[in-house]
Amino acid sequence: MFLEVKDLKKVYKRQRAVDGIDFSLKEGEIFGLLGPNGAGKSTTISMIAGLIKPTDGDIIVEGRSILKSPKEIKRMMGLVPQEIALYPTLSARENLKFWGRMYGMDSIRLKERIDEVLRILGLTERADHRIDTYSGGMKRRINIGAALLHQPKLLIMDEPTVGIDPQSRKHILDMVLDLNRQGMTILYTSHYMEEVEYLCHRVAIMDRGSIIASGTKEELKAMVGNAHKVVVEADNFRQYMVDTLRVLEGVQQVMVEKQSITILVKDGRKRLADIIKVFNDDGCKVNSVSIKEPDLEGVFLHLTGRALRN
Amino acid sequence: MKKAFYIAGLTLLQTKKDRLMFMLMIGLAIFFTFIMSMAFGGRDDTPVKIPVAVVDNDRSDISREIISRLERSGLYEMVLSQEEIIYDYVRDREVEVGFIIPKGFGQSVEKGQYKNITMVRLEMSSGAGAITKEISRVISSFAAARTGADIIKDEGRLLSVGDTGVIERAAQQTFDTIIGELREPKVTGDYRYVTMDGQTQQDYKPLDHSSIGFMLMFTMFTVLFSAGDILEERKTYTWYRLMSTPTAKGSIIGGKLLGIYLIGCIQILILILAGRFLFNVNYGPSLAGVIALMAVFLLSVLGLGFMLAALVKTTGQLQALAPIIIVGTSMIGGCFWPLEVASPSMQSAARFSLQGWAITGLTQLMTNNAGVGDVRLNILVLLGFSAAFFAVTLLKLKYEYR
Ligand SMILES: Nc1ncnc2c1ncn2[C@@H]1O[C@H](COP(=O)(O)OP(=O)(O)OP(=O)(O)O)[C@@H](O)[C@H]1O
Ligand SMILES: [Mg+2]
Repeated sequence: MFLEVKDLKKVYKRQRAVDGIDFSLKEGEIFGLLGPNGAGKSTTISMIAGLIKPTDGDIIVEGRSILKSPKEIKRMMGLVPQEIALYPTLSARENLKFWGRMYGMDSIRLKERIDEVLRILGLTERADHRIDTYSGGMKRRINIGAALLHQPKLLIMDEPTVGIDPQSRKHILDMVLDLNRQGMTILYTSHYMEEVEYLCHRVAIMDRGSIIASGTKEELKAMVGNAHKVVVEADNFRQYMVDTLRVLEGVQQVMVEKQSITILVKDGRKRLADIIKVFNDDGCKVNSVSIKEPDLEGVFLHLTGRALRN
Repeated sequence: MKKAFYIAGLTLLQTKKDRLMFMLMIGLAIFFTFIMSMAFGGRDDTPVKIPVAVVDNDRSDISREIISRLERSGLYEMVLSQEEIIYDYVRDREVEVGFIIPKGFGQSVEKGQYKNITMVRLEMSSGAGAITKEISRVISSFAAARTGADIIKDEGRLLSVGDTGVIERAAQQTFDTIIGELREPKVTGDYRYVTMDGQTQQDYKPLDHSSIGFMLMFTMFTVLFSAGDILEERKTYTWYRLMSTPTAKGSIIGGKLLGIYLIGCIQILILILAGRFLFNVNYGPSLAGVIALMAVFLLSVLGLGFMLAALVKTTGQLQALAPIIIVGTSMIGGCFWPLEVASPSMQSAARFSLQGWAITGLTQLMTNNAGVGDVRLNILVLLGFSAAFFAVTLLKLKYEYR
């Protein structure tokens, strides 16, 4: 195994941020860590990157413990923080130059790599402008670029696409696939199920400090059987109706979000009539109904009864 | 180790890009010194002249001599005035002293009789004594010259030299020579004041004091605000990224210290040069002393800055705290006024002020021909402060994220 996380724990005064998790990455794969806000993703990543000390457990990269030889491991890792971690008054080029230096790169190689990375990011033209004049998407891209200069074997990305436009997001996702094709192992964290589905070979779903499920996308989806996700938009929905829905045949989970009721149900197409009937019997006005094939969102819903995004 | 230099370089680059604060601190130091220089009478480093009003009702050689003699002494600023307004002048403190030379004064002196000169002064003023003395000196030199000339005339008559014009000329020449001889003072005073602890000092110049006082104070501002950089790095998450790189904590802190230290050095250097060339400040003969003292002063300020940055949580807190600490210790330490005029308790309090140690050291170097050895106590104390500040910093500084 390339990276092994063993019984990792981080306990704060009021919170078990990470509560004993195990997972491992194979060399050359994209591994997804999927979970809602506060699941403990960033805390996990900070421990892997040697930024905070675990309360318990260990992290082994290529046979070496991060606790014992942090410097060697940091050298082969690149970290993309969840937050934009750049000097706002400096230009992109100046930022990249500085971060390259912090990885001990010499001038000649650094200069080449900066040009290369800027090209990959599609920011060559704006390279000499100050970061604080950049748009959110451009900042995100440089935020990633700063972790790529030294060509790390392991790239750790903590929600690298939060709050950006679809175009920039697409650019970033394709870049990640490209880097992986060139041999980079990637640990990708997100609370966007679509991103993880698009990118990752294997996924661990995290919630409240624990990994509640892990495996390939197919293995995870198999957990919910061939259940469908039925989403009903309706007016006048009342809470007691959840119980009526729950006892219907094949229904696994019911979740209410304002006017939108999500029902995880086996053989969704066959059960649709029964479901609509519950709404009609109670005088609820149904505005729309949709049926979706099972996805990771459904897996999370199945396991926790909550939505991934909150 | 090499990375420490890149981190220091980063601090310099950031300061260069965002130089408003840095320039403002230098500008304010110069501006405040300039205001002080206006208050104390310009860049001229001769002592301030005492304004004296005079009414010349006589317009004789003697009266003119009196006025020009006082003017040439360099101590008085002579203002020609009218009898009707001279009292108001003095009362309104436009001048320190006024005097009136009455009509016929010259003639009566010629005859060997003396007439009164009216002196006008405020009750508590002490300037009149020196002026009366100067006036009687003029009168005696005229008397001496007159006597000399009279002797020549008498002797000439006794010798019955035919041509009286020759005698007249000889008498006039004698008169002029004696006046001229007595005009220029043969002894000048080099004033030295004796302070309580028995050390003599050269003439105290307020402008020199303001210049170094503001230099120290505004350099502290720059250094303390720059130390907030390590808090700012947390806000921009660059601290987090920095910790994820294979860079030793020692290099990170060392680099930050070095960078900010260099910025402090640049500011001190600029302000020392500004003092030298704009305000004619004389830093004394010991360059090594000034460098050593400023080097340790900056170190202690750097220590203070990092200690504060390690103790507070946000840049906002630091920016609120720093001015209070700086202005407070600047007052106590004598950046605004010389410590000699402060009360004994204030002088003891100055021992807790970094600026106090720096300024007493600098004053020594500037006025007493002192060298590095003479300010070793100041240097040691500042080093002690630095050590204490850095110790607290190392204990309190958190490297972990959040
Ligand atoms: N330094 C800390 N002190 C106390 N609690 C903390 C600290 N850091 C994180 N936590 C808590 O630990 C939990 C996990 O936080 P973490 O940032 O790892 O979540 P996350 O999965 O990255 O969420 P997000 O998607 O919002 O980034 C949260 O409840 C958070 O409040
Ligand atoms: Mg996070």
